[in-house]
Amino acid sequence: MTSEGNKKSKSLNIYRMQKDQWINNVFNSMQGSDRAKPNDELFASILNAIDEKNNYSFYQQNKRWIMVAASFLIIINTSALIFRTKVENHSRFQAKNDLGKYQNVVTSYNIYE
Amino acid sequence: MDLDKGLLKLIAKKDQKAFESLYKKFSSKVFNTALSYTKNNNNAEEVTQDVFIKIYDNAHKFKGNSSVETWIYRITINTSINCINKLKKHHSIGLFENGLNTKDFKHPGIILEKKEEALALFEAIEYLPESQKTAFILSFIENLPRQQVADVMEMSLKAVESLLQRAKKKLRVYLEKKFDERRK
Repeated sequence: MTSEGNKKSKSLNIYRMQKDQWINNVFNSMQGSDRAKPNDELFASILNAIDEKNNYSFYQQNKRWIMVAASFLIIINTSALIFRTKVENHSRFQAKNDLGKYQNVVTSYNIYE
Repeated sequence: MDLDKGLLKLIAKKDQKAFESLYKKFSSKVFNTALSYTKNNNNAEEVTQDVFIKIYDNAHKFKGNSSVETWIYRITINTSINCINKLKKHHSIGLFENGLNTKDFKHPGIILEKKEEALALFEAIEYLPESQKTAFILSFIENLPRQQVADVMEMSLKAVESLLQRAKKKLRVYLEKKFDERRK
């Protein structure tokens, strides 16, 4: 083998050695590393998320009953409102009638005409 | 009964102190694994949050066939994979582009002299198929014993070893190319 051939194979060997060395370093790059830790506030936000989820699932589980109760309240309130309006209308009508009667009575006592 | 299983029984009864103890013991393992998958701090925290909510909700379903740690690792891996798939889906329709930008990911726990090599390692892991990636992360980043990796992945020890061999071969091919690119 010529000296140039020797040089070439030597540099090829060096190249291969460097490559293997680098790849081994990459494979071992996690050795001696520390575990990454999450943010200190993460636990609090997990508890919040659990609370929110529980509240939501309480709503989901009782959705039907909540809707029945809401409808019942709406019906009661509407009925009360209708009843109140009727009573008011009735008393206004009554008052008007009474006024009519009163005027009649008064006119019949008009002695200065 | 070991301590972790006892904690899980208490968590099934919604005991918050037991939940906090379990969180303190496993949060860094969960976060670290999630970080190896997602390569993004915010996404890893989101995965950690989801994992602990699942633990809280499903503690009563734990049958005790495996260790609590194995069970938690299994939940972490499934949640991480779901998170990545969700991000990929959003990425494909043009949402959350930054969530998948993992090229410059620097693991916060790595010592300074190895930062460059670790960057190359995480970049290479990205090209592995799912099961090889899981086996590699659990074995070489989480440093779990091979039998536990097999338990987490619900596979035989032989199957895990074969996955690791194939993963290393693939990584080597990628890293050889990377080495040549660096020299240019």
